[in-house]
Amino acid sequence: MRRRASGAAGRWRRGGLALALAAAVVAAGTARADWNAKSEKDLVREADAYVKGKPAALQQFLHTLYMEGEWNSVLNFNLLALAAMELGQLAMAEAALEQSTARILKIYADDPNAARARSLWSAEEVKDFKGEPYERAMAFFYRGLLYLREGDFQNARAAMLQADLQNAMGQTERWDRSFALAVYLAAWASSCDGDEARAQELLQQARRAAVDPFLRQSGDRLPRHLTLIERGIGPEKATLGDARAILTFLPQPDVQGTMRADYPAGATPTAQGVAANLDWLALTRGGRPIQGVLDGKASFKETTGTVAEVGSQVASALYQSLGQLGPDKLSVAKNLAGLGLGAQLLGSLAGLASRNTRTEADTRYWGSLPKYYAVDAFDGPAPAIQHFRSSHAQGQPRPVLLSLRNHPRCSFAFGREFPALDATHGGIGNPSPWPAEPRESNRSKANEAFRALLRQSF
Amino acid sequence: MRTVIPALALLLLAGCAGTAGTAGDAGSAPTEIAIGSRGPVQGVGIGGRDIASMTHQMAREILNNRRVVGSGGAPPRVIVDGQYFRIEGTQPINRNLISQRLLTELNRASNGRLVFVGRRHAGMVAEERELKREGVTDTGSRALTKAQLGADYRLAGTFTTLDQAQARTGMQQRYNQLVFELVDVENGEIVWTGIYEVERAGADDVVYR
Repeated sequence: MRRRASGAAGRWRRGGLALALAAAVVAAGTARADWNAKSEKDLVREADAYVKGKPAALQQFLHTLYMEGEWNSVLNFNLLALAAMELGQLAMAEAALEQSTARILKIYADDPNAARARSLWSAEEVKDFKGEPYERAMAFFYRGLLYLREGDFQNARAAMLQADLQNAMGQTERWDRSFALAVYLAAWASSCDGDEARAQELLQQARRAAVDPFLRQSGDRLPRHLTLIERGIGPEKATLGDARAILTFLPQPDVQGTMRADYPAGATPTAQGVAANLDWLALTRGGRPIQGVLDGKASFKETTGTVAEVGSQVASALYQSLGQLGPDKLSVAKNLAGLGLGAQLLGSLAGLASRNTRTEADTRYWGSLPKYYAVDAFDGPAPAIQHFRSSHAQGQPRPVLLSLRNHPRCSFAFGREFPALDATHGGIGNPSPWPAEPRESNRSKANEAFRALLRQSF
Repeated sequence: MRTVIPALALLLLAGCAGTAGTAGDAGSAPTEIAIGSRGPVQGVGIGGRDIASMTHQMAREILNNRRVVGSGGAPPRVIVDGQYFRIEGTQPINRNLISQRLLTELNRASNGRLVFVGRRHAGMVAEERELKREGVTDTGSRALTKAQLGADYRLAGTFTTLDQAQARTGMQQRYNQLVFELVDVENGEIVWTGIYEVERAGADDVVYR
């Protein structure tokens, strides 16, 4: 899933063969020096001791978090948060998301690892992981769900609005940028908090932007109960071009089977449907400025912008088509190309590929995200949901992972189709590759502080 | 020419040995950051520095307000907690971070000019009162009171943001506004208002846009 990058970077730009060779030698030397800060063996021993006694299903996540340090902490905290949620360890999920969202909000200016990622000699993934805009948005989205569970509607609204903002930062400017479900939930949280004016304002905003069927059909009234169901597996990242410098997103094959809440007899949703599609959020991402930089020109390029040039009617049709991309990856790529959403997946971008040495795009991705959200809405009191029934779980019910009950105005339930645990525990949220290596030691003191935080708080 | 390349490489190696990258490359040791000073992790929202500054400012303003303090008679009773502090912006925040620090600043500096009522401890207080009155415990060293303290004023507030962003440049800009109020809980009068506002802008490195 994820590849390790080569060693440390030089700071030199084009300078001919001599400089290139020299820089390569320097880079290799620096990399060796980095590993001397603490031997990998010592670190593994520390990580082993750290995870001892932790829940078995979380040990891989915590071990990887410990080993990879700050460099991959946002991704690892995100994976940990969803795995902890799966086990009902909600305090840990909250703490993990607090850590990841704080790092996402940090402005990475004058950051040495980011500078390395820009340099001629390093792959992009030497930078600290913050995720693509849809991944950053989802960290806040899950934090918002956890606030909803507590009935802290104001912070839930703030987190959902931040999710919308984070998503918007990456969307192409010619396309609507809204993460409409997040805005809808911000409206719902406002209504639950008794702020009807704000609720209506946000509801109109969500509906105006929505391509999602549930939101397009929703009226002016917000429901009392929402059931959120995560289906399928979210997009992965891929690189294109000879130099593998172009980042693109590859949806997973279509969702199969069924997953529904086990409502008591007579409880029928007043509205239901798909309310967000993460493939859509990823595929409507605007061009990445870094690709212009990598190509030697600080220009802004639309690389996934095909969809941005179409009208809203066509957009709706394209959105629907994302639910029928095919049962395997080849079909998905072919169908995306046919829809004009992913021609780059099938090639034809040789001209964009670099002729000389360029960096590789960063393909680390949050693998435990879903493909889409299905929502059931009830205008009446909360139906008692014991669990979800999924055709994937061999008849085993899937648990309600988060819920808000006993609130006078609102209730909600949240579940997901696939567990966010690692593969050995039957899930899809692998912190890979396993076992992790200490990815960087050029910030050994910062990483020591990071590991001290882990020992203290996780 | 063949001897030039290794020589150049050696020269570069030697050069780098002494100046291995920037200060940031070499890592950053955990350091104590003075509360109220600017730390290395910054965004466009509210951080610890702001909380320290705003609570200090608000405590000073409250204690200098003659309508609240020093109007003669018994010192007013105040509830300072986060229960009526509204989050209306785009940054989730733990309200207690603000209210607890403000309470601490006020309590330290008021020197008896204000009485602070711990309403969020009402359950704990009720339990102890019941134990005393049922004779499970003795009455303690101070006299029993008829009831828990009633309050004259209570803290309320609002945290609002105005966000602007430009995807093309990665520039984010946020106006953060925190308004504090002391509300007379008998008649609803707002006897004091304070404001803390800060606007910040910044852009991530291009690799994050």
